[in-house]
Amino acid sequence: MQKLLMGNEAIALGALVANIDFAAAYPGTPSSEILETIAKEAPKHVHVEWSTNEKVALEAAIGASWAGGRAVFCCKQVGLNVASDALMTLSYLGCKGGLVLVVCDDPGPISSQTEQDTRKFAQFAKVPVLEPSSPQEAYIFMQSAFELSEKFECPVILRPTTRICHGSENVNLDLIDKNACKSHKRPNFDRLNDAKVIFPNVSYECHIKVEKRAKLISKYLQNSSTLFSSIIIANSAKKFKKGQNYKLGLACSGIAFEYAKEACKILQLQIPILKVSSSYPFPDKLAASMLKTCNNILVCEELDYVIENELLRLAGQKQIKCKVFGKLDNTLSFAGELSSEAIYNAIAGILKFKLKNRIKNFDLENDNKINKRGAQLCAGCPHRASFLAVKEACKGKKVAYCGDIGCYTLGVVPPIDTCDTCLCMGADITVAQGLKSVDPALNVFSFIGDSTFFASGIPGIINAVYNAHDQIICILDNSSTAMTGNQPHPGLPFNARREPAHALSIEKLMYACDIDFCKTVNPFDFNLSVATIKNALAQDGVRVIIFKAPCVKLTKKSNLTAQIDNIKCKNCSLCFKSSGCGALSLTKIDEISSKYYVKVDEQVCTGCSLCANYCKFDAIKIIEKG
Amino acid sequence: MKNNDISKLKQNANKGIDNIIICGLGGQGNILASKIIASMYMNTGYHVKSTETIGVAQRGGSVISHIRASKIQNIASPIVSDSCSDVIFALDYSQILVNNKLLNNKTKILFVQDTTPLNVTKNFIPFNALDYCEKLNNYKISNILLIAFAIKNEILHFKKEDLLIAIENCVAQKFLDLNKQAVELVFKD
Repeated sequence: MQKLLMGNEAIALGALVANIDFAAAYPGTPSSEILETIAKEAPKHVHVEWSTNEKVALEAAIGASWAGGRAVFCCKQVGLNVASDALMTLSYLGCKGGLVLVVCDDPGPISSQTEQDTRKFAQFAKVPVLEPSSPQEAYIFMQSAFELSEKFECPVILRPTTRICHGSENVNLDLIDKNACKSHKRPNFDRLNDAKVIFPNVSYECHIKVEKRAKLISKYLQNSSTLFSSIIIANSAKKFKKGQNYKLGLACSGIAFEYAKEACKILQLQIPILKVSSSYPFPDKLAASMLKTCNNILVCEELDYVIENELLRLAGQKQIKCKVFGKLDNTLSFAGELSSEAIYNAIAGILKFKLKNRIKNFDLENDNKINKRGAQLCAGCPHRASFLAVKEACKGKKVAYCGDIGCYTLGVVPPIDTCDTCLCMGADITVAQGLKSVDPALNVFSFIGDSTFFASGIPGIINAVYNAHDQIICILDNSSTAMTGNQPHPGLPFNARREPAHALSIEKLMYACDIDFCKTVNPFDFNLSVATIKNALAQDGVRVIIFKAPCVKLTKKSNLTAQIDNIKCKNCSLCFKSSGCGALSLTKIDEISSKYYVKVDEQVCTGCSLCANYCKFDAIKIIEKG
Repeated sequence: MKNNDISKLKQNANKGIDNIIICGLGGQGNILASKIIASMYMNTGYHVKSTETIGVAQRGGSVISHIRASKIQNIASPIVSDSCSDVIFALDYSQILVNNKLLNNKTKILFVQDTTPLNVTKNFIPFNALDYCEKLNNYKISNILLIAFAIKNEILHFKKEDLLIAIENCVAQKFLDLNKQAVELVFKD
């Protein structure tokens, strides 16, 4: 059966075909749809959860595996940083039931903090990594990963990138590895045989085992299955043969393999392409035969130079004469996504031919160049209200605004401009503590979302109380993990399966942390919000303000809208220049005239009335849409 | 290499492949439109690959979907090469300018018309979605309206039924009626 599937859906269905017992994740682009799909499609007996954070998710998945269940853990690349403590020791202790870590990298980056490469993490932790080059392959690899994991009793990382996660294609659901899907034994934790305890003398033995394991897996991957690393000849049905001689070959992994094929198709080249499906353990034998047959190899890979390093190592070890081009010699760019254009230009450079472009670029009259438009907070977003209230209350004061990861990072966009630092999940609270400690004249504000608060905010707050820091912490509670697609979190009364759940109260947690100043306000009550912040500013110690109003994507379409009184309005634009609301714009009255008026886009306006706070002429009324 | 004219080489490489772009701003329904078009291709016997913008840009930033489909060969890269698009759908006019490099002189450019005055070449095909939106009392349906318009005007070579099937497959139950109604409305005119 064929189905149009997004890579993340294919991965989820792959996990379900492999009969998983347990799935845990924390949301993060580009990985979120994997657990969402599992939650929707999995049979009842499968435990599916959005965990508090990635570390929690991975540890729970490890427990499931140690009891003999099949478990899957998903996160985005930076999520593995959070879970890395568990990962490093997991590699030593190994697993029982199949355990697959789906870690999604984000070249570009399109929606991430860093362009880090999970393949390096795989090398670091000495855990095998599989790199699918298409949604179809991701589906198949998912099952092979479980087979591999159980055969060698070690966790396996499946590492797709954004173009796989968020790319779709016809996926043939019947192309499965029957062996990998064989049902496994009923989970059972037996104290006598299943104990997993790390201790220094155990670690030494484990370290030796882990190195041996890598060699065995490498051998297994090269000999057993055609699914894994291979060499093809571009634009040809011919098979790669040893002993031939090519002027140039390509080496790639993941989506770069598809870009490389595209580039060869455009240039009509019949050259060998080494497709590395597991950068760790590296397919030494296959790669060596590639090095021997090519005078030059161009390595096409996104993010880090992993394959490039391995080829250079091999060439040295085996004394093979082959020139390796890639990122290290600046043939291809270190940062950003790769493209077929970049590859064919690099090929032209190596083979020393010039590419001409005879067709002129398409000519658009007048205004040729426009930059991409950046993201902004939605019209009616409660974060805007919170930020503007803080700004209003802090007028004339020396402040530092410490932001965090989520929609509210968009507080950095002018004219809102309430984000001076953004480092990683939870760091809004702790970075502020350092700032204030060495620059006591500062008033430090931390902005943290509700989901981020549960994920990694609490230790920072405990630190604030214990070490007597002086700061104002604004918890922006919009009842959602909004940026990644409105997933639930521990503060909400339902879980990943949309079943009822126990909702934790942020206020109660704050009282439990001995915080005396903890106020909850609706940020759309502008005057009360400003007064509360001023009240907080007048005091010392740890002060917490919870700005509580649901994400605009969760609320029913508002029947209210702002309306401009065109007689009172002087077109000063202060309303949108101060609020930064996308529902307002200065528009020409007609095509010929040079006169403008302030236009309200009633389709997006929610009538939140924030803009009215800035009108000096009382020209903005909130009315019912009609 | 004998022929080193890259634009000719690209033309050859793209023979038998449909290259479609959907551009706009986050929140306009770009991802659903992409799913529906890809779905129509798959259901009518094509191999299709597509890629979408999901993430921070969905908050009102520039977003773009690429769809590539072929009946005679497997698609490698899901991304349309520079200057190789056959059709570009613009849910916001400004985004055509952002994606200028994907266009060539034959690219058909369909866009949702707003108040922006235009004097443009014959490649530009404006579509007044607003009238239909008003009739349907929904302003987030431009994406479906635009696809229906493209099929009716034979810019996309599908039948109305193909679109209705794709909608059944891709659209949430509670919006099914609205979406089907939108298609009928465009075809009735």
